[in-house]
Amino acid sequence: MMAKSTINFIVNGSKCECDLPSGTPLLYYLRNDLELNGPKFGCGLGQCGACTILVNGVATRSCITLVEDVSDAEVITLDGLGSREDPHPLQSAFIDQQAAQCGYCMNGMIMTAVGFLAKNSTPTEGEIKEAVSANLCRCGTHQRIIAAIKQGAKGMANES
Amino acid sequence: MKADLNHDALRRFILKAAGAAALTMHFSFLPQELMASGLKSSRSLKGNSNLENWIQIDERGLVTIFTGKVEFGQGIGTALVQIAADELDVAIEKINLIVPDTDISPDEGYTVGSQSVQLSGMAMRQVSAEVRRILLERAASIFQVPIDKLSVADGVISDGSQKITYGQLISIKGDVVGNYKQVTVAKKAADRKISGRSMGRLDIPCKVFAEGAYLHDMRLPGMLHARVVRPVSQGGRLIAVDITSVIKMPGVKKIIQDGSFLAVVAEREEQAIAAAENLSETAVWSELQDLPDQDSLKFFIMSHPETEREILVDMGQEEISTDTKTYEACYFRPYQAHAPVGPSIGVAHWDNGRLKVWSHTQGPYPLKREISSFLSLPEEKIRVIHKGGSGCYGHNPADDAALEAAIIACNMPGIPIRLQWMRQEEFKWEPYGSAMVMDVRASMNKDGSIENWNYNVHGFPHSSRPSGKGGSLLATRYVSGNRKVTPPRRIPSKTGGLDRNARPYYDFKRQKITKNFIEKSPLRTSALRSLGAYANVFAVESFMDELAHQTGQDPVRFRLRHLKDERAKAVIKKVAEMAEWQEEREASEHMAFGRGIAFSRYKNIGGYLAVCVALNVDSRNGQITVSDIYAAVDCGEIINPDGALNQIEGGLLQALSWTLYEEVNFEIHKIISEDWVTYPILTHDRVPKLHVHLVDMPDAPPLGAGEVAQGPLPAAVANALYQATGKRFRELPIIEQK
Repeated sequence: MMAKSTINFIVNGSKCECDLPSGTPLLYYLRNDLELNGPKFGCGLGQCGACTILVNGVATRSCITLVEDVSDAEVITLDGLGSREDPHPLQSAFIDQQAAQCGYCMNGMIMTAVGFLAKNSTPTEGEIKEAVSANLCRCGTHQRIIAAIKQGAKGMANES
Repeated sequence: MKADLNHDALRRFILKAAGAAALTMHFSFLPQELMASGLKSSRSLKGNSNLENWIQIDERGLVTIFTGKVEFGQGIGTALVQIAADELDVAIEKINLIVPDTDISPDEGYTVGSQSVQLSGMAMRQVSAEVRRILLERAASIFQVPIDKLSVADGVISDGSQKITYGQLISIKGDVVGNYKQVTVAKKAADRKISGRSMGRLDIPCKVFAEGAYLHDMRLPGMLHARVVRPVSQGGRLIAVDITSVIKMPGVKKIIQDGSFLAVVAEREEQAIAAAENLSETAVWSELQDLPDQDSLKFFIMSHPETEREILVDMGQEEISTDTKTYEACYFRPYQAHAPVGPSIGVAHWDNGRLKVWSHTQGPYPLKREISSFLSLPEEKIRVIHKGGSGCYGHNPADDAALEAAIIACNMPGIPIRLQWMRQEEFKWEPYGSAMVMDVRASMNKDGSIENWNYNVHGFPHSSRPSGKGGSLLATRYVSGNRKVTPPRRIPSKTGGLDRNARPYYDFKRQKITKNFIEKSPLRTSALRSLGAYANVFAVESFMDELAHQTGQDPVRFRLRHLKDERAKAVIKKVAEMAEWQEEREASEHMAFGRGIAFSRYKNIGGYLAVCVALNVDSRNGQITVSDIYAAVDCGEIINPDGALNQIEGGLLQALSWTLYEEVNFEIHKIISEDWVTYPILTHDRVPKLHVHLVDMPDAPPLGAGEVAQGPLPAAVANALYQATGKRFRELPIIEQK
């Protein structure tokens, strides 16, 4: 449980050598050691989705993922998804649709959508709702979030 | 409505006057009568009456604006920038907003009650107009022309041939300082170019690109992580704790025990969590069985021996004509939680004889006074700086976490302390929205009008915000020294707490409104978005529907006949048109359809909202599907229409979640709602289509938009369910009692 060995993986394109004891939730490594702001602590229980990241392209809850679970994997967080200069289509869409109030859940909405749209690039509205229904939003921004994911899907299709 | 975006507007400038590092900006909404004259000054200007408290312009012409209202995603920061840009005639990009900081910002108390545009916004408009006039006077004297010959475009003043910039005027004649003299009339609505038009919120890009918008993202050099260990029962005392094994755990730096306040500080966050869990296992607490039986909460509230009865309105109740028919009903709302997605957090640093506290509080100055009093530390030794958190929705544990972080930081001088509450703490230790019971009786005349209305509201306090006396926050109850818990604030009935919107906005011949206030709530309570309005309007608007149906009247026409205010009638008529209102019940093989309508004017002095909910009920399994929500809103002048829409949409959906699903569950010795499984909320797959219409009132005073939706929504749902099923739903949440 507490065995120490270096765990190697890639985060946002950079190699990481993580020396934390196995059993450490990945979220704390990403936030506190790599100083990434995207993944958020929401519940620590995998219930709300605020901490979502991509592990080998799959939307994953980093609060219940341990550092050793991502050994040799490629991790992408919102921080590495795009930038002001070169935004990901979903980031542009969330701004265009003003799909945030407090915005705390937005990381999870965007990252879950990236993972989902990779599997289904032309989703129906119902499929989008289903895909993010386990990501909680408390401000009631749901309608805008769905509109943003729709717009992002189109944007991603145009890019590819 | 497509927003007009300004991604780069949030630049940081060096703060000339403050000398302090310009804080990453974040951004809050103005009393209605003020604007009508254009000269009556905003309440926020009292005590903050110097122009430089609000606006500073530097020699480059860059404008720094200050506010005491905090941004929590409601868009006040963007609205303030829009107002200043418009009134000063300066481009948005040249304006930098400073987040509330008790060392440099105006003290505007709390960011509450949907009043930030009315207060801070109108102060900003008035000061901007005055600053602009002073600069024009300076230019007029340099150009030797009358002031009315001058025009301004993006901070450049021209008389048609000569030009001078605001920056140049500042460098020649110095800063614009001095008392706001209330001599300048702000622009007419028709002359505004930026206010009244949708603009992308300035705080959103920073959040989309993970640039560290939240207090949760703050990392100070040498910062340590703290966790608090809580008892099982709310009133539990710490009997014994064995710290010997915990202190040896990896990374643990300190265990702080002060009476029943128990906290651990560690180098790393996960180490603090592990240590807190371990401490929790070794700690022995007294257990209290002091909560009521949840199943009989309604009876507990209605028969509470310490009820203070206050008659708010009494208009000849006893002289009821005998030729009337009387109806009655009783409604209930449980304790409900703020439940932001991100649990509360406080960061504090005792640094060189001064305590710095970063908080997502709604009131940086009141929090400073509370901490000062609690720690017996002079106010000047404390600086509270706002940084955004998750959600808000009223008085959540932001202030509790800030004080706890401050207590820990004072125990560890020189070391910045980050105290993150865990999910379970957020649910179990927050100050809930009060459970309430509303009973109402009305007598109807033969002509179908209401002759007499007798309304009773029963419940607990709606504000236990920091009072400045040092006894309002959670830690008071646990630290040693038998500290006195400050009694909750009595909210004057003009706006009301428990009694907010207890008075119907209708014109009834006779009415009697009684507030039955119980000061000691078994579960700690405070302000939850809209306070008592949510439950009072639920009761009033449900009962109006009942009376209409009992007397065979159309619920829309029934409301209209009892209203005098044309603006109220206008939103009801509008929503009926939007929803293609019809009274008839529709049904298909398994589905029963229903529509319900409700209306309120928030606080009876704020914004107007009428809502119509369309839903269907599957007779095979009782599943309720809300398909559409229509709302027509008149909130006076709107600064950022898309921002107001976002707030109203959010209010509708949050109220839908409260109404269908939400209830804090407890046993006699502890609270059992502790996560998203035990306290479920609305999810994407259950979200209806929203149709919101904003009434355009550019010349009217702003009335606030943040809470207008909370009141009418639950009754519209219950009324729609009645139409669909023929059954009245008088207790919330509705899913629980299908």
